[in-house]
Amino acid sequence: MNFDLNSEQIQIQDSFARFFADGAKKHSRTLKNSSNNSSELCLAAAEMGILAMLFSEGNGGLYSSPTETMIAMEEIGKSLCNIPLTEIAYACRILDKSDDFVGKDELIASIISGEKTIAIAFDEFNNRSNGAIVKTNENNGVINGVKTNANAGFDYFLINAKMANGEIGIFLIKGDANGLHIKNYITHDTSAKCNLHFENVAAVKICTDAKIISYSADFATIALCYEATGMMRMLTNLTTEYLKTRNQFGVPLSSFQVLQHRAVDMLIETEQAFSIAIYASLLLDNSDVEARKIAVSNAKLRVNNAAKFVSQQAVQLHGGIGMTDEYIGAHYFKRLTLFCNMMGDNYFHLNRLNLEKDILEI
Amino acid sequence: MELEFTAEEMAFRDEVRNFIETEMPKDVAFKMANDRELEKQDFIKVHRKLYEKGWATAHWPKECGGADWTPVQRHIFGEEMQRASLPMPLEFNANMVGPVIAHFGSKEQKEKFLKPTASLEIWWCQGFSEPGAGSDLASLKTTAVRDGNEYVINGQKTWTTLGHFADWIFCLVRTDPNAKKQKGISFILVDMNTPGIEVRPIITVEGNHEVNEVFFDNVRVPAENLVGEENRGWDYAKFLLSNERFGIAKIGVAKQRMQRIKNYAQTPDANGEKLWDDALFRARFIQVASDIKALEITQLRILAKQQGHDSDAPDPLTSMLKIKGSELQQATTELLLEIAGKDGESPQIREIYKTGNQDFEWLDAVASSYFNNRKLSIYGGSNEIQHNILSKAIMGF
Repeated sequence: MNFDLNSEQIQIQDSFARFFADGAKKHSRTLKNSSNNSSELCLAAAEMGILAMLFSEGNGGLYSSPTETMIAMEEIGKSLCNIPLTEIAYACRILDKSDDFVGKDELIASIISGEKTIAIAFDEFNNRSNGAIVKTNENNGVINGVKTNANAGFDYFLINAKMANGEIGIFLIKGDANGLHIKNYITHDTSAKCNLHFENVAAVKICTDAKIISYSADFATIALCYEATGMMRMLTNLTTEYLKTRNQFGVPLSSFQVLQHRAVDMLIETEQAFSIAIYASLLLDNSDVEARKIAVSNAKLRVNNAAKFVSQQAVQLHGGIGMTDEYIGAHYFKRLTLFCNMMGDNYFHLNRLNLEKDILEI
Repeated sequence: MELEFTAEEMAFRDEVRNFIETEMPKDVAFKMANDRELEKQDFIKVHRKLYEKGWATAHWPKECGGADWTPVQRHIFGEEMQRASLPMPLEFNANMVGPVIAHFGSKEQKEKFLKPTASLEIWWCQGFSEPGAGSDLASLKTTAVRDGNEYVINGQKTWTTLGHFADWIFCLVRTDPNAKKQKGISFILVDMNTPGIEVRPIITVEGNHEVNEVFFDNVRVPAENLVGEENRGWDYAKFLLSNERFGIAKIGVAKQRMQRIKNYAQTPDANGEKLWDDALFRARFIQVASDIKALEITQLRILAKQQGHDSDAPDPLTSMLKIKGSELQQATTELLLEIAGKDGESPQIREIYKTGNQDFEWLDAVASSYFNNRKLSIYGGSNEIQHNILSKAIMGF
């Protein structure tokens, strides 16, 4: 039993911390235009080897464990760097394990090098099933439907679509495909998103194995949880420092016990969230699929609860300043709020746990 | 990063499991598993077996009868005992006064007390809290005045857990009334049979006799019973309390209770319906279960850090284990109470129904255990005190 990073991982952590802090200079979620020229950020991330970490050796990658990606995600969270690595990782983990198709090796090589970008586009409007029910459909290699919340400006998307036999398949789409109409918008956390309208768009089927899809979803869910724990850690620290420096009634706010205890509760929530994210990350590659699913849904539930508490209390303890766009904490608050709905909200994960045979492994 | 225990640690776990399975009294485990009160002999039976195996005080220094266990071994032992619904070696002996005597006691005190303390020939109780000194322990007023070769003790202790079973009591007493608060306190050992001591029961909210008041009226104690130096008792008490927090989260107990909750909820009721099939109930169950899992890992993270640094030094994060551990245990007793519903309203319910059906053996203790477990967030330094500790030590307030 050991929860320390090894020396190589510590080096990786140092260099990722610098990389994302640097990237956040232009692409911080505190900036309205943080998504401008985000392709240069993706290229730089690829040059750091971050994309290679998502592909196994057989595909020319460097994948050894989920931990390296989780380290990157935590630093993304801390720095507020606007890079959708969760959606990228989701797509890459599927692609790594997908069926063979013409041009697969070349595609993966171009993603690892940063020449091309890829992300998943699974969401649909007014559909809260987190991928279980899909209205977008495929017939004879042709896609029709609408995907929402896709990452704008990407070269490729993986989408899920209902096939003629009623099952769900994963399809590779070129971002500039004929018949694909794109509507761009910016979300509250300054993510550049878009809706993809498919009108008889040609697509390549790359995967129909539900096991691979659910594994990749779980991988991306825990990656996202690490981003959230990074944010919570920063937010707890920011709040602690603020309480020490802000004076009211002639004394620092940190001298009031009610505020001290609330800050301690933020710390406890953050540590609990971090613990369960670690646990789930260590089970991602476990052969016991049921144990993995339980761990992942437990983690997302627990981290969601922590994210709500920590982000709300951070705003509360900062008072008026916590409400301002100018203050960095407000941007952690917004991103953590959107986080709760990403990769399955509490209702989704409660329901998924409900379906498992043995919720409580002892 | 590695979640699994090492091969040696797994082998140790198997050895503990096997020992528990073959040597531990099943009747005691049955009582504990149903949240019933234990009798004096129940504690003694379990403790003596562990003592013979060398496990009752395995975390003591080796020269004092310890076994040099690593923090992980100590954790595994605790988890397995809790998993099997067994009481730990008597805390007052094994975790409190024993280590204090081992570290700070005189040669004579070690010779006189260590062995019978380890074997539970002497049953110790704790004389710290007073009516006016709870969370603010250092404001205690019980005095010990030197008179020749004796100290004369006057005052009152309270919340003395299982004091009615005890042979000896270890007390914090004020030996210098003029010194500032913590400075004038000493740590002294007192035979409960000494004239002038009176033990009066306190019946707690669930109706059980677990704690007591202990009155001292001119109790004369040999001066050689003072541990360490006069007026340094506060330091020894802090050392003792840091030991107390080890394993305080009692995650094994919470997990065992969750397993029971699940079993009971899956048992069909008179209408053939199961509470387990109620999605709202399961949602509550899952929320508690995920928090328990998180705390288990938090505990292992703290443990791995101690193991890595080969240190028993108290980590202020253990205050977090106390806060969350007590809250989650209370949450499990609350869930049990909900499952029992109105059937769990009387402590005599077992006598009334006498179904002979072991499925309902648990009903009578459900409410008592819920009431009693409210103490968890109060004792051992209340959860609010633990927040204060974290405020200072971690947040730097």
